[in-house]
Amino acid sequence: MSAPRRMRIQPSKLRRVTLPGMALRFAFGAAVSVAAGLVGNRWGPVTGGVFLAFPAVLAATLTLIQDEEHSRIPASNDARGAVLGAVGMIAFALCVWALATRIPTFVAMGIALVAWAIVAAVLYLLIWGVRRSR
Amino acid sequence: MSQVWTIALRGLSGGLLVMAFALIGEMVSPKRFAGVFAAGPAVALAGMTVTLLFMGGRQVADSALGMIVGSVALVAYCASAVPLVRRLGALAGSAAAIAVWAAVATAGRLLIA
Repeated sequence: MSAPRRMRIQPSKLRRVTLPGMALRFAFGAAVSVAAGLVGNRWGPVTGGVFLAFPAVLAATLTLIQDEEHSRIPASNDARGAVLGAVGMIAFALCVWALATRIPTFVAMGIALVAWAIVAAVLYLLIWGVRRSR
Repeated sequence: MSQVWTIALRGLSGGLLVMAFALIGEMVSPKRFAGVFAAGPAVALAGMTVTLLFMGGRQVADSALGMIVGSVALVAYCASAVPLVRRLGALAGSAAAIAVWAAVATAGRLLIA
């Protein structure tokens, strides 16, 4: 197994972003949002809320990565990272559920976003940071 | 505001936030860390913001309860997608993993009904 690389932010990589790729992500994001709204209108907010975590955008991203990289491995690695983002999503939803009616809802959503980022980052560092240090 | 415009606003805001998270994911490396942003709460933030603006905080809390179930199913999706994508490729692998999401989400929704 190769040693994991350090986390980096490289704005220069944005040059690789393609318009069709972004348009596809926009389309999937819009479609899932509309679907969640329609389901919520028809079957209530709890069922609609289930679709706020529907993985259509992730499926589109994995397909795009495979097309761009001409390999299944980067897409698979992306899915590994997505597990951590998904665990963070549970923390996000729990925060909103617990706080939305107790404090201003916008503040609850802000706290939930921070909770998502912290949970995902800490899990990343715990899992791959520990492997890196071995 | 009519329901059609509310739905359109959901679509527009959801699409834009997904693009924003995707751009952040493109900037970061390694690929595993970028994957975190592929499972970011973009659609949830957009949907909950529109719900808050037009229906209020109680409805947002209810949708968050459903989202807990959807997120647990998302973890199952991602965990199953890793081997499925390697074996079947991204398109077929992620499609098969969506079946896992649907099964876990349905079971979870029935559990909290």
